[in-house]
Amino acid sequence: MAGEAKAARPVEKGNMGNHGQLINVLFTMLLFLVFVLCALFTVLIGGQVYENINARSQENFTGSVALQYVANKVRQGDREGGVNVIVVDGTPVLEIASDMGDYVSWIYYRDGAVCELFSDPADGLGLEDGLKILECEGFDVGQSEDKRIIHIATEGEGSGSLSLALRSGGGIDE
Amino acid sequence: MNSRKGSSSGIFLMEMIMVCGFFLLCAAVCIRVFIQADSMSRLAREMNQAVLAAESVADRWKVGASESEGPSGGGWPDQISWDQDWELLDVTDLDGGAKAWYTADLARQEAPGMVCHMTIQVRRGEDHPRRRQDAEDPENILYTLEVERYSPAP
Repeated sequence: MAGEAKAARPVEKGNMGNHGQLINVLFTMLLFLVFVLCALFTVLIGGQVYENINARSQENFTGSVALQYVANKVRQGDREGGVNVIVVDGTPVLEIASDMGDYVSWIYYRDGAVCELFSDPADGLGLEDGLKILECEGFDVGQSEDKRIIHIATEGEGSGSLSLALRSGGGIDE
Repeated sequence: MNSRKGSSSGIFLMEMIMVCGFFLLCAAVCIRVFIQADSMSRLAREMNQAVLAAESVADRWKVGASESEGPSGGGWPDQISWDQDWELLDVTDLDGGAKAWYTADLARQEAPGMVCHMTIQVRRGEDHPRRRQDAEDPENILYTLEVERYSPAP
């Protein structure tokens, strides 16, 4: 009997040792799982933030570049009677006169993009012949009644608007 | 044999704890950087819009718009406000409870027959949810533009 009891002790010790070992391994694995989950969430959050920043940067680009491009063209062509907003086939068009005879630049919105057409209106080219400058969700152009101020605006995400005063007075004798 | 196994497991556990600690430190730094990047991106967008808004106001003023041709069609006030989409708010909008997210202070020095000056200072308005309260930039200024024009004598 005494011999049996003596024999049983090492078995108990071994069980306890195995149990402790199991908890150790389990805890370590649990810690590793937490580590992996945290790493995953950090990467996901980072990806989301990067996506947001990228989207916002893209919106800023399309919104402001279109406005600044048109503003630059207006400043360039700002001479008496040189900048006007006309309506062609129901589309408001910014018409900027050039130094080359009767040639004019038309800037307008068509098929999801700001388009530009440099031609002589007598040549018969239309809005469908313009070159796409920049894709954006919407673009609107207008002129004040006294023709001194040009309003340009982009639509959609990152949209903006700009009022441009014509230094030439918009064709009105001052 | 058991004690050797236990000690190797303990070392592994310690290593894991150290790795997790280091990772947490890195994650905290990364998240801080992400938040900073996001706020910088928002600020860039707001500054972009502030530049456009200030340019528009400056152009209207430079063309010699009279008191009846102010930014909202009702004269030149000392302050202009915009909503969160940068739509110009007039007095009736503000009285109707519209929130002024952005505000521009117009400081003008005008006299006939002189070169007139105007300083346009666009900043986050009182109703802006991310208006900073820090001492670094208490005014929350986004953009400042100075313009001049000649005002002919009558």
